[in-house]
Amino acid sequence: MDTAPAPTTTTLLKLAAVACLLAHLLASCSEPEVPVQPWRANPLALEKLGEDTQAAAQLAQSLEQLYGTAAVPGGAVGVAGQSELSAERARMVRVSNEARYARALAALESGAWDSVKPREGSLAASWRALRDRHTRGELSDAALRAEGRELHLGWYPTLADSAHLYRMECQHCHGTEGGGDGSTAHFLKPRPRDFRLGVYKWTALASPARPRRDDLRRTLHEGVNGTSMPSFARLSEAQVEGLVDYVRLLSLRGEVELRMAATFESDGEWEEDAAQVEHEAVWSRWQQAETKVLAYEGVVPPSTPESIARGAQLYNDATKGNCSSCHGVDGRGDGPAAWKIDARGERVPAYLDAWGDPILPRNLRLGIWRGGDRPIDLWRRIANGIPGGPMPALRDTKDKDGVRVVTDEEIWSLVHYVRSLSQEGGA
Amino acid sequence: MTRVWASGLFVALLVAVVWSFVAAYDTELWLPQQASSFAGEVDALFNSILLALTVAFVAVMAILILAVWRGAARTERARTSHGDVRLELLWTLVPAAVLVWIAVAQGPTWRAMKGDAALLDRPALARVEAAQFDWRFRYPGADGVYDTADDLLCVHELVVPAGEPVVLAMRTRDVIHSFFVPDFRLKQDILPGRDTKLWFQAPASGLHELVCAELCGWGHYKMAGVVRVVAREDYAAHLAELALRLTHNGTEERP
Repeated sequence: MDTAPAPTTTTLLKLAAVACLLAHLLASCSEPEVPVQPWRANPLALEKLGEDTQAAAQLAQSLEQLYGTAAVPGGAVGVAGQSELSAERARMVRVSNEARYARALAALESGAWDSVKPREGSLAASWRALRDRHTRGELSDAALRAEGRELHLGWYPTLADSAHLYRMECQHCHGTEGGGDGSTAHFLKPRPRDFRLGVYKWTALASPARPRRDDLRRTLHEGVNGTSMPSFARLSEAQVEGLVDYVRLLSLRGEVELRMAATFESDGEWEEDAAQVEHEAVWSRWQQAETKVLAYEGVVPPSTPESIARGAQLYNDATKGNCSSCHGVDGRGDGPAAWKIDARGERVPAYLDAWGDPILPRNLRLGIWRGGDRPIDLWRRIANGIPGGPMPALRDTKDKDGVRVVTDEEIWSLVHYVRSLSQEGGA
Repeated sequence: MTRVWASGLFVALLVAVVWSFVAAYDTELWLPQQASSFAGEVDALFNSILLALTVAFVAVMAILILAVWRGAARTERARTSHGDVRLELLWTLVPAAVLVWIAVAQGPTWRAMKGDAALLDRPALARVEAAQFDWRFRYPGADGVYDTADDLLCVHELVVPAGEPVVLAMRTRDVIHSFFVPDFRLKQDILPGRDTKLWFQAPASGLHELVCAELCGWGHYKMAGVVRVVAREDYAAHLAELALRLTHNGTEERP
């Protein structure tokens, strides 16, 4: 029997390298986590506060009282959304939970308690609590089964759960504070939305109001076609509703921050309850959204050659739709009004959007509709314009006698014409 | 002692590899459910190749273990060989024959899946419009013609009827994507500037994952959808529901 030679330093180093590799592989098997980053102050707000660090600290403290911190979101105002769901939505959330947790529900049915491993924070905590009571004998098998089932079916994310999901899915574009400044944001065109202005383009509302839950949910569900915002339909309804809650929290917080900073800039100080007052002002606008839905009163007319021809007239008539001035006579988004010559003699986009980015009119021949592809979506875009950009509200455009330049019915003709631009037909 | 460690390492490797397959079998780590008409055939091919590889792997490992075990005990100087025509012919021709066998054996399945011209020439049930990072679908509507006013659009979820061949036309708006439904054993690249067609037939109702199988950018991992197979009458009902989108006047919100 020969004996093994004594291990040299090189051998030990090699072994250490292999061990490191194995440890790394094992570590990568677990769920990835995005660390919690604290909410930072909006640079635009800091600018308004000037050099006043004391004011900045006071503002941060007020915001924390109202909205909590990134680690523990919610604060004094809460803004949890479960109570706002209609009965129908609540039912859909349950149905969606049933599908998402089908495996856990089956395991509960068969009594395989250990196979029930919820990943969502609050759900996992509640399930652990149930298991503990069961272990202590306070809960029978049947009760654990029934309560565990109800727990999964009725689950609605807490703001902390949604903050976690936001960090995993949204933060890399929309940023920690919802400022549209995440790490991947710089590679995207158009840039991700900055929620802190409280301006949202794709709503069904009659004025640049704050969006309804339905508007945000629809954007999450369908994505924004033609941009980098993908569809999140793969998430459960409860998760999507939770993200709506969290986005709303970020938006509220960001808008109140900016308004507070503006007050300080003009007054040099704050009233005692300034933050609360600003919050009420912004929050009431969110709550009024439901009353501002813009709908067409009547039956949607079908697209006919006559309607399309009428739409083409309105589209090009400078006293009516005047669409061609920006979107171009061919609808390619190359109209003269969309461009200007800058100081250096170069042709640049004529308009900036609410976020300070140059904005160009949409090419209507591609069949890509950011705000939704249904005819009613286009009708709303034309009737109400697009908040945050130069697209005007034709519904509010009146001639010098105070008469609307186009009627609601004529807007349908415009919709038919605009839709026809991308509908050449084909096999 | 060295011979025990050295040959033991290879024995452990052999056992670990074979065990990992045996342990994975009959769990969700093994192949997903078979949900298309050709899924069974594809799996049979996979299994036959796996069997051939298992035989080859076990044989190679056995020879290796034996060589290490016996070689470690030898005391004379190693002898260097400079080629053996018979051996080289053997290890070239045998794998070549196996490869030819695989190529021939998978031919009929491949032709049925990808080369059925009569089937693929049928009008497509829907058009898949892939883009970073969404699956969007367009049904031609009542007139059967794409890009007209009555097209029905939806995102994320493709609904198809069960028990009949489904032909899809596919396009991409930007980069290469790949339409992959693991339950169907179906994967097809979609190239920019090209209309790609594919077909499948799902025998029963069910919900199946659709993923993008071609790295298409930073959001590639988000590019997931579902294919929902439903009975014929439910399919008609789904299209009717999609058609409501065209006449929706906005008074009550529906998706």
